[in-house]
Order: sequence, then C-alpha cells, then structure tokens
Amino acid sequence: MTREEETRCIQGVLDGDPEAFEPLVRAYQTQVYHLALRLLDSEADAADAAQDAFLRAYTSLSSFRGESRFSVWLYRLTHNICLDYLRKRRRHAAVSLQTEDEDGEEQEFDLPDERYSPEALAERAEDRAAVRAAIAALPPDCREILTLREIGGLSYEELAETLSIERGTVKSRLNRARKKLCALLASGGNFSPPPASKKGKGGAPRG
Amino acid sequence: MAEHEYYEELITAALDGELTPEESLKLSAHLESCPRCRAFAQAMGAVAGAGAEQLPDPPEDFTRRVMDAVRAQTPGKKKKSVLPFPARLAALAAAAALVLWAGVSALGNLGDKNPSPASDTVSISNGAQGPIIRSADTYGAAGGEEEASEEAAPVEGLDGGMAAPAALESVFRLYAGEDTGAEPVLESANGEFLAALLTGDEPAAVPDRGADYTLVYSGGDGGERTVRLWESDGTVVVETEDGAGRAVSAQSLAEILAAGD
Repeated sequence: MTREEETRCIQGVLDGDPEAFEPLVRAYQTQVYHLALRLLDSEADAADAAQDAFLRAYTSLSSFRGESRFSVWLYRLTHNICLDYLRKRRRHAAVSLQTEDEDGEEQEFDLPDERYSPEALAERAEDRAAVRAAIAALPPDCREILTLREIGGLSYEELAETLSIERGTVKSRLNRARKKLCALLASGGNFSPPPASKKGKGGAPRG
Repeated sequence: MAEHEYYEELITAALDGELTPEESLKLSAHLESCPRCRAFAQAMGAVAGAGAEQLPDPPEDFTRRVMDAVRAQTPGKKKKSVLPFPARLAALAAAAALVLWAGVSALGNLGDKNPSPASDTVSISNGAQGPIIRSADTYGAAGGEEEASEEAAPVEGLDGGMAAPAALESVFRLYAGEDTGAEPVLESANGEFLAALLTGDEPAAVPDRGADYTLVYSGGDGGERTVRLWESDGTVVVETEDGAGRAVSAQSLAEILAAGD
C-alpha cells in the first residue's frame, strides 16, 4: 500500500467512514499479527492483541500525525499492547523486555569455531523448525527487534521510535539478537547456556 | 566499548543497510586486516534474515473480526438509530434532567397540577432536542428527525434554580419502582459498561409497560440526581418537579433497551 493510499484511508476514517479502515487492516494484519505472535508466543493471544492494536489505532487515529509511517505507529501500538498482555500474565518476560542491560550475561561469541562456519550456519538457518526454536529461545527484546526489522522492515530510525530507545541501542540490541541467534543455531538445538569452560562473563561463581 | 564490539555493530548495521559512508569505509578497511571480524561477518550474514522465518498467517476471519469491532465502535452508522445506545440512554437522562430543570422555571406555570402524564407530554424531538444533542456530543453523534417547535423555547430561558446538565455522561442506576435501595434494573459506571450490559444476550432489563422506574444519574456538577420515569402509551415519561410528567422519548423503554443490539 502506498503512502498516498494510506493517507486516503486514514482521511476517510477521520471523515467518518469506518469502512475506509479495512484496507489498512488488510495491508498490515500479517505484520501486526507476527509481531504479536513473536512477543506473546501464543496464536490465540496474538490474534487478540493484534485485534486490540487495530482497534486502538482506529479509535485514536486522530492522534496519528503522519510524522512517521502509519505502519511504524501501528507497530508501536502493538508493542505497547503486547507489553500489557505480558504484564497481565505476570511473567518475568515483561520485565526483561524492558531491561536495557545490553551486555549482561551475553554468550561469548567464540570465533573461529567450525560450529559457526557460515556454511553450517546457513544450513541451520534453512531449517525452519530450528530457526523457530532458536527465536523462541531468545529474550523477548531480541525477538521483538528482530521481528520488527526482518518482518516489519523497519529502519533503525523507525526501530528507535517504535521501541522508544536510542539509535545506538537499536544497533547494539540487533547485534546482540543476531549473535544470540547464531549461537543458538550453532548449538544445534541445545539451548542450554554455554559450557563453563568458555570465558563467559558475569556467570555464576564457580566452586 | 571494546574495539571488536564496535565493529560487530558496524557489521550488523551493514547487513541492514544502515551504515554511513564513513562507517562503510572504516569497516571495509578493518575487515581486510581482521580475520576474526571477517568470520563474524560471514556468520552474521548466514543468519541475517532468519528472523523473517515463516510464521503462520493470522486467523482467516481476522479482518472481519476487526472490522466488526470497528463498526461497533462507530456511532451513528447503522440502522435508523442516530445515537449509539449509551448515548441514547444518556440522552434520556439528559432529557429527564432538562425536564426536571425546566419544570422549575418554565413548566411551573403550566399551572394546576395535572397528574395525568399523558396529557402533558412533549415529544423528544421538540423541547428536549437541543440539550439532548448537546449531551450526546461527547459520543460524536448528532442529528435525528428534528421538527422545530415552539416547545424549544423553554430551553433558552432556563437560568433559575437548577444547574443545567451540561456534561451528562454517566448514567448510574435504573431502579424498578421507587425503592432505590433495591437491586437496580440497570447499573453502569459509564456509558460503555452500560452498552455492554444492554447489548448482552437477553433483554432481561426490559421492563413491563406501565411500571415505574427511578433513574439515578450524574449531572454536570458531578452530583447525583434522581428522577422517576414511567411509561405511558409506549413513550417514556419523566416526572417533573410539579408532579406532572413529560414524555422524553417517542419510544418505549423496552424499545430503547432492545435497540441496543
């Protein structure tokens, strides 16, 4: 959907025609749903959250100023609604999604190592089930930024805006997300923390 | 930040096409001399895009569900009813307030108590029209089959006695009969809740014709007011201060309640 079409739909809704909203739903439902699915990890919750996001977009459309792309604004609503869902579930996920601890407990990315050979990794990355499991094992903030980047196609600027973080944090978080993904894929489905022999930092004190 | 971390982030940004020209030059120069970062770049390149792995599509009826919810949010677009239901009940309360309030100044000189509700009734599209619409503005709705009438006149000169129900947004409780200590027929903290209640499966709240009700609602000043309602010949009648009645709706309460769905 072009930006002009978007603007026309938005204006239509603001002029009182609810049907003008439908093309916007059709255009973005998949991305919004996928973002919610990545964050909530439940198809039922994702459908509900995605619906809430569209409904909130509809009712607060007059506050959309057109300074960013409509999709970015919509993803931001989705992000906030998913956080509410996570909070309601009272899982620690909601907390870690907001931590800005960029390099705490990071798995050391040891190179060179044949497990990380680009060929082996690329092969693993083709394996959908492995990728899905690896992404599910990522911390929520990493899952989210990867999703926004690779499904939503957001630029760093837009990611910063959507997630209310600095551009520098976008870079480091994406880097961290991909590194973890690499490590998870390379570990071949064994997603337990790396062995203690690695020069991990911040690990639990060993006896 | 450690040097390699700096370059790692540049590599990530390069994969995303987010490098400035300077950064790009810097990174190429570094990659030539650093096998570690070259390996890193290759590994990252292998997983870049993995995040776009196929996810299931949204449920088939997703668009329809959203649009149904959207339409339900939209006032005044369906059927005949001009106001969304909560607005209509708010309008009813507004009308009740108006009549009460008008009763002090304007209706007082209708003189000698006429206890018959029917004989004193005015239709909602007359005297009460202006204020009803005003109160319903908060719902973004307006309009209706108005017929101008001289009955509108009393609205203008209402400066005495009671405060105008300017911002009547909350309808609280509707009681069957006069006993406000009993269970209300309808209860609502706000219009939305009321709408939810009224669009429920069963119109359990639909009263029998002819029964008396007491409506407790909030006025613009935040205080609660109480008014008695009854039905007469299929219209809702509100008791005025002088004990007479004024019809505030051309519909019966049952019709108003049933129109919620």
